Amino acid sequence: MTAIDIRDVSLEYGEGSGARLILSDISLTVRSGEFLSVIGPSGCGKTTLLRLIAGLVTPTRGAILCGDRKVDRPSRDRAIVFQDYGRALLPWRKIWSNVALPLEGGNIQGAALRERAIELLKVMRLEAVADHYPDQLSGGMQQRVQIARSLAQEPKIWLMDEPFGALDAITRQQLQDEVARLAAERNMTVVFITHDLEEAIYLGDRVVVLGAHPGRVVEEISVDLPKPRDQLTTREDPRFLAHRHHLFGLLQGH
Amino acid sequence: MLTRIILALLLPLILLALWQAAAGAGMLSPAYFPAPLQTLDALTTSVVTGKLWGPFAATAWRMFQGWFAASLAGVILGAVIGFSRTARELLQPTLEFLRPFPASAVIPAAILIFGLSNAMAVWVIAFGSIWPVLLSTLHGFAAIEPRLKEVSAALEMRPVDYLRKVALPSALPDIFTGVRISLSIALILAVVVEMQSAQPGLGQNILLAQRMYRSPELYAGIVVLGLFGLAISWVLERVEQRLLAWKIRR
Amino acid sequence: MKALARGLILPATAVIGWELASRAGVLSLDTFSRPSDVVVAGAAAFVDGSLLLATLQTLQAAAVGLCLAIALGVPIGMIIGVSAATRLTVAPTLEVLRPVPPVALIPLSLLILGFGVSMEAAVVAFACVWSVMIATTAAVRSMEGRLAEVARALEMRPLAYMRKIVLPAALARIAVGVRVAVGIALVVAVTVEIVVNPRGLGYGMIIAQQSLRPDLMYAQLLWIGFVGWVINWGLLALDRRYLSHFANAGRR
Ligand SMILES: Nc1ncnc2c1ncn2[C@@H]1O[C@H](COP(=O)(O)OP(=O)(O)O)[C@@H](O)[C@H]1O
Ligand SMILES: [Mg+2]
Repeated sequence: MTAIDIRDVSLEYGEGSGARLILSDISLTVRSGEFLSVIGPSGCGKTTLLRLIAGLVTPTRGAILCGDRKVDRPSRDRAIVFQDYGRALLPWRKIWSNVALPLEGGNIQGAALRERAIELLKVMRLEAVADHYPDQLSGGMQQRVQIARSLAQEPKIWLMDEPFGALDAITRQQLQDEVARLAAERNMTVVFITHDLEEAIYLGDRVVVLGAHPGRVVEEISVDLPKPRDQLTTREDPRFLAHRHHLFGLLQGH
Repeated sequence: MLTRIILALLLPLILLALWQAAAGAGMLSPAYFPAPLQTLDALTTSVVTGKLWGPFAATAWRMFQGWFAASLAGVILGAVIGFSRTARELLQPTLEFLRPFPASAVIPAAILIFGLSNAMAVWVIAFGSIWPVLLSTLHGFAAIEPRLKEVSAALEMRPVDYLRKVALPSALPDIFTGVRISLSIALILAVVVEMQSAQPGLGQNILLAQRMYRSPELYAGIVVLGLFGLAISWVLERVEQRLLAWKIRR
Repeated sequence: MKALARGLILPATAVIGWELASRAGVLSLDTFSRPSDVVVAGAAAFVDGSLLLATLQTLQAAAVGLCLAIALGVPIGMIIGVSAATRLTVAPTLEVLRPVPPVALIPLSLLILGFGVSMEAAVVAFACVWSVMIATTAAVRSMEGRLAEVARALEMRPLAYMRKIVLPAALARIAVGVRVAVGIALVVAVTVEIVVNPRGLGYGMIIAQQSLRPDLMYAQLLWIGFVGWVINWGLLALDRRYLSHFANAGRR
């Protein structure tokens, strides 16, 4: 079953003579439950592609379908985890209350709201800081809060924009495994943007490589590595290294 | 803590003691620089006899009315201008012209229009103290983190919820700064209006004390106004600490 | 251009409405005058020189007061910024004086100095000194640290340290404080004139109001607005040109 169907999508920013083509004729499909990694050089339009899928931007040409509905605005079915976690949290709300934001106005209320938020924080092992404010947390913890908040939304589609780009190596590996586990457990369809080649292969069922100026698909590969993956053995697997070799050459070329 | 307080009190106490001594020795003219104890005497008399409270209440009430009107109008107008491009284009140039305007300069016009009344005083105070609230509210709403707008969009928030949960809390620190400056301006204008147009209050009191060369009363009046100003800023600081705990802790 | 035109819609409508309403007798001439009369009265005051004289008087008092504020605020601010001892002994007293509404000092200033430019300048100085002083203290404190260590390594004397290191490093941010003070100076000067001092633009308005010349009063009111706007505009231009750049460089 197809979860996301991107059909000949192009996007221009600006109008008239000032228009710049950012993405050119992108066609991609993502299967339901698939983990798709998207990789490409900085400025090639990865974030823009994600925002298109989220419905925060509408394509200049072409269309995006989720299920059988055309994407023309954001929906709670699609949760987005922003790259700049520091700006994506509400600084005036405590951690638990940030996580509770998507639950508000639903059928959970009062004390139960807080309990549900704490449950989600437990998933990310953050229950100890439930009553802190975002700026009291490290970058890695803030990003985990954002992830917990996106889970509160109970999305079918999980959109992540270089979520671990600014984190140290150890935190990053821990979060990679957590995201992989959660995606599998909750059977979410994931579009995961990264500029880290190994991360893309390690997490993805499939890796799409975007080229720059204008952004376009230059390569798609399937990752035939067994799941669940393991930070040590997977990364030493000859198939992993072969993918890495192949894609590395592609990325250097562009 | 105690040593800090003692150190802080040292300078004023020494200065006051010197002043007292110089006045006692006849080195300072009592018409201009009455001895501090005389001022204290005038102050306690006005407190004990209750002569202070009427004018004090009049000034405070006037200030509060003008400030409240200004804050309300300033926040609403600022929010509208901050959100609506059309409103911004229509109003901003006019506001830019009015902003550096000396508020006390409208007193003569206000007297012509409203007569020598309390309504006139409140209008002048409101006109003068609206600018800080208005401009900082405008800034607060214009400077909402774009990422948070996207977060709200992704959660399909209704406009009301966006205003309540995102826009307002985000603009609140700015609004509060404006409101605080407005209050100090409102106090200044309350005193000015009283002095200029003979409205009963602390401002009129000190001007009359000067005209009658009752300098201890004049000094006492200034002390009261100073303490009032101090109390206001202290209270607002407390309120801000409670309201914006997430921000101040930084 | 289009933006300017849109911005003018509101004031233009107001002026036309004002003129029409007064011609139709809706607005009383004694209270509201009318735009055409205001222009005539303003032009007359401009031609006979009275408006310019009053403007100069107001600006003179504002400038004298401002200079006083700088002369007091910068050194005091620097000392408080550098010395922890004064922060403990002097700063609290200043903190208590700061919220005193400057206009409360008008009668006192009048009592001691009498009518004239000096009493006005004194009140202006009291109103303006705080922003200069606070900016100076903040500027000096923010550059403590590395530069102070350099000075200690060179065994500089305190005075040389102030002159060669503290002042230049803090200058840009002090200028920002002065810029705020300029705006306050004009407002306070006009206020003092309106309340007691028989000179300048503020007094001119009071006289016009009391001698039942609303046309002249509104003309002066608009003129004051214009003067304030010009000063503010000039400061913004200066700001954009020099200060914002230096202020950021100085902060680091
Ligand atoms: N709102 C916008 N307006 C104009 N240009 C934009 C906008 N957002 C992004 N761009 C441009 O689009 C290009 C792709 O940006 P982005 O999708 O953020 O790249 P990536 O995430 O791959 O680094 C960049 O050149 C960027 O300057
Ligand atoms: Mg990006």
